[in-house]
Amino acid sequence: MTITWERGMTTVAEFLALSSALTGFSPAELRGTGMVGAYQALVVQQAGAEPLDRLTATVARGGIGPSAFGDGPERELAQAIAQLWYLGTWPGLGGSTAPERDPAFVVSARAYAEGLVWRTFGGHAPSTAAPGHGSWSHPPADPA
Amino acid sequence: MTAPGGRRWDVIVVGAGFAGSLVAKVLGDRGWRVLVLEAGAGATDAGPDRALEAYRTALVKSPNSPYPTSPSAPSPDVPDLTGRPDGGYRAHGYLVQRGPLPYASGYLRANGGTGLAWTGLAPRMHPEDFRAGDFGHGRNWPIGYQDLEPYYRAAEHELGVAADADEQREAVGLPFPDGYRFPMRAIPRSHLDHVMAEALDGRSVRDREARVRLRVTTTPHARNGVPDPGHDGGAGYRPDGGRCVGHASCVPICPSGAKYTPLRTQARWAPSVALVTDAVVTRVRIAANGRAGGVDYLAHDGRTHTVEAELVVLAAHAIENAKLLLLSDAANRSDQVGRNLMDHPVLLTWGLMKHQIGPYRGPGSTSGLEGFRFGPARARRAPFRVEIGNWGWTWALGPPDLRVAELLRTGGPDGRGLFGAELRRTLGDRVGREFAFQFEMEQDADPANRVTLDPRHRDRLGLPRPVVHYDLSDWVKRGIAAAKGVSDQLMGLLGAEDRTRFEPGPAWPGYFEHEGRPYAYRAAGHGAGTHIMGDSPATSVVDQWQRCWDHSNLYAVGCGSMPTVATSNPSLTMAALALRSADRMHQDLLARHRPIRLKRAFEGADLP
Ligand SMILES: Cc1cc2nc3c(=O)[nH]c(=O)nc-3n(C[C@H](O)[C@H](O)[C@H](O)COP(=O)(O)OP(=O)(O)OC[C@H]3O[C@@H](n4cnc5c(N)ncnc54)[C@H](O)[C@@H]3O)c2cc1C
Ligand code: SF4
Repeated sequence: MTITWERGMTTVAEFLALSSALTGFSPAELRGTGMVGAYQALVVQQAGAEPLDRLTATVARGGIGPSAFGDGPERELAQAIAQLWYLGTWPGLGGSTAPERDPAFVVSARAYAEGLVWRTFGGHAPSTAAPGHGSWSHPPADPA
Repeated sequence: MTAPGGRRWDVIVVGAGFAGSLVAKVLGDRGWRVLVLEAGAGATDAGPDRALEAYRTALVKSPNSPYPTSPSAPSPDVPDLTGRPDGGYRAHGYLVQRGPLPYASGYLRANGGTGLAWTGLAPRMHPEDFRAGDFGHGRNWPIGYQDLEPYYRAAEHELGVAADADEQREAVGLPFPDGYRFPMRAIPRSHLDHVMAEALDGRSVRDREARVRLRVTTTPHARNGVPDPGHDGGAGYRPDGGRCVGHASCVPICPSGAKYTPLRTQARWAPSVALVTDAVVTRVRIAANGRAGGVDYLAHDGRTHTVEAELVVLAAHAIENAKLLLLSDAANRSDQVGRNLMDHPVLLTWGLMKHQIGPYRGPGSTSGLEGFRFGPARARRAPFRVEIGNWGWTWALGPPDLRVAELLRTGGPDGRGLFGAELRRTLGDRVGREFAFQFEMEQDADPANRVTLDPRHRDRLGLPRPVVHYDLSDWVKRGIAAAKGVSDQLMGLLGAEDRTRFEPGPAWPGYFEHEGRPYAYRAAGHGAGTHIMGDSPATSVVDQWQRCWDHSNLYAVGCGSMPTVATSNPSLTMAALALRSADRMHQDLLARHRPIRLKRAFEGADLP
C-alpha cells in the first residue's frame, strides 16, 4: 500500500485492522481486493477523519460487537464501512446534508466486482466472472 | 445511408426491437427497401462497455439500468412502482396507472428494444394454448400450432435456440417434425435443478382433486450453448456471439454476447435496410381510401418529418403500438385497440435449501416444472409455468445487498447488528442456500384491462403518455392461490425452509388479498393483447397475418397481437408470428411491385 494519511491518525495498517475486525476477512484477503486505499480515502471524505479515528480506537480496544459501539454515529459508521467492503456501496450517513438526494452510491464497477458478500458463499458479483460453460451445474465451490 | 425523406420506401418499420428487427430482416433479404425508424438512442452509440459499466455502478440494477434512454422516448421500469403501507400502490414513472392493481412490467425504448434486457428463455406455446377459449377463459386463436410450427423452427434458427427436442416432446407434449434438432444442445441444468430433480422427479403434488406429476424439465434458451451438428438436416449451426460462460447477469446484460438480442438480427440485415435512431414516430398517416400512406416522426433535430411507403409495420411494443394506433385514430372499428392488455403476473415464493446450492450462477433459470400449464384444470383457474430461480432471492426480495444491510443493522443475538467472523459465516450460510420459484400465470384477455391516452399527461415531446387500467381476474387470482398451494407442497418435498411472506409495503406494489389470504405478484415484462388478433373485424384489431382489418397495408406486430399470452415466455411465439407475417407482407408487396433485386435480375438478363 502506498497511500498514507496525513490528516487523520488512522494509518493504512490500522484501517485494514479495523476493516478486518468489522468484516471477518483477514487483512491479507482485504488487501487482495486492491480496494484498501480507495475505501479509506472514501471513508475520510464521507465521514471525516476524526470519526474514523475514534472508531479505530474503539475497535483497537477489542470492541467489534454492536454493544461496543455507542448508539448513533459510531455504530452507523461501523456498519457503513462493513457494507462498503461487502457490497462496494457507500450507504450514506444519517447526517448527510442533502437528504433529498439518495446519499447511497456504488463506489465503482471495480468495487462492485470486489464485494465480499459473493465470496462468503463462493460466488461472484453478476457480470464480473466467466467461470465457463456449464460451470453452474457443479456443486458450489467452498467459500473463499 | 440515403436520406430517409425525399423518396418512397417499400416498407417502413416502426421500432427496431424484437419484432421490427425480424420483419426488416426478412423483407430486406427479399430485396425490399426498408426504412426502420427507432425512437431510442442507438444502443451501440455508447457501446457495450459503457452499458456494462452503467450496470455495475447502478445502485438499483433494474432491467433498464445499463441502457441509455432518450428523454424524448421515456421507458417504464420496475422501480416506477411502490406499494403503500396499507396496500395499494403508487406509480411515478412514464405510465399513468389507474387500475385497482398495477401493470408492473417495464419495456425499453432503445435501439434493440426490450430484447436487450430480456432473460432469453424461449419456449414454444403448447397446441392447447391456441384453443384457450374452449376452456371458457380467454380467446381462441385464428390459427393453430401447426400453422405456426415451420415459423417456430425458423425463429429458433434466427434466435439460436438451445434445447432438447426429445425432452420437449416428452415432458411438454410439443409436436416436432421427425428428426428435428435445435440449433444448439440444451443449456446445462444448474446444480439447483439437479437437487430439485432428485427430490421431485416422479413425485406428485395435489391441485384440488387432481394430482400433478412432477418432472424437472430443461427450458429452451435463446443463448449460445454447444452447437448441434445435426441441426438443419446436418448443416449444423454457427452461432454469433460467445458461448454462455455463466456471467449470471442475462437480465439485463450479457457480457459475453451469448444471449440473443435483436442487434444480432440487425447485423444480418441486407444493405437495403436503413435504420434511423432518435426517430420518434408520432402518427400513421391514413389516406382517404383507408390505406396507410406513411408516418410522421420527430427527429433528433426536433423537426417533424414525413416519410411514405407502400407498407407500414408498427413494431413499437404492445403498449406503444396501441398508443400509435390511438394517436392515428386508426384500426379501431372493433373498439379493441388498447384493450385486452395481458401480462404474466408472477407469484414468487422463496426459501432456504438444506445445503449450499450455489445460487447466483449461470442463467437466471435453466429448468422448470411444466405440468401445470395444460389440462382441464385451466377451466377453473389460470394455468401456470413454474421456473426454478437460480438467482437466489433477487427477484423476490432484491439482491444479497439487502440481506447484508439487514444483518448489519438488525442481526445478532441482541438484534443490534452483526459484524466480523459471525457476519461472514451467517451471510455465507444463508445466501448460499437461497432459491426461489417463479410461477408465471396466464392472464385472460379482458377488454377492461386497457391502454388509453389522456391529453392531460404528456411526455417531453408533448405526446400523451399511456394511461393503463389493469386488474387481475378471479380466475387469475385462483391460479395464484393454486400456485401457492403447489409451492407449499414443493417446499415440503424439498425439506426447504419456506421464507415466503407477503405484506403490504413499498416493496410489494402488487399486494392483494384473496379469500382472506395475502398474496403479491411481480410481472415478467410480457405485455400482450393490445391489438388483438382474431377472425372477425368486429371483435379484433388484426387478422391472422397481424394486418389491421381496417387498413390493408398497415401491420401491427409483436405480442400485442396475441389473443392469449399462454404460460410460455412469449417472445419466441412473437418472433414466429413476425416471420410468418413478413412472408405475407412480401406477398402483399409483390402483388403491387417487384423488389429491387428481382428488378436487377431482369435488367441483368440483357447483358452478355
Ligand atoms: C426484464 C424482462 C425480461 C424478459 N424476459 C423474457 C424471456 O426470457 N423470454 C421471453 O420470451 N420474453 C421475455 N421478455 C419479453 C420480451 O422482451 C418482449 O416480449 C419483446 O422484447 C417484445 O418485442 P417488441 O418488438 O414487441 O417490443 P420491443 O422489444 O420493446 O421493441 C420495440 C421497439 O420500438 C421502439 N419504439 C417504441 N415507440 C416508438 C416510436 N413511437 N417510434 C419509433 N420507435 C418506437 C422501441 O424503442 C423499441 O426499440 C422480457 C421482458 C423484460 C422486460
Ligand atoms: S449466464 Fe452469463 S454468459 Fe450466459 S447468457 Fe447469462 S449473462 Fe450471458
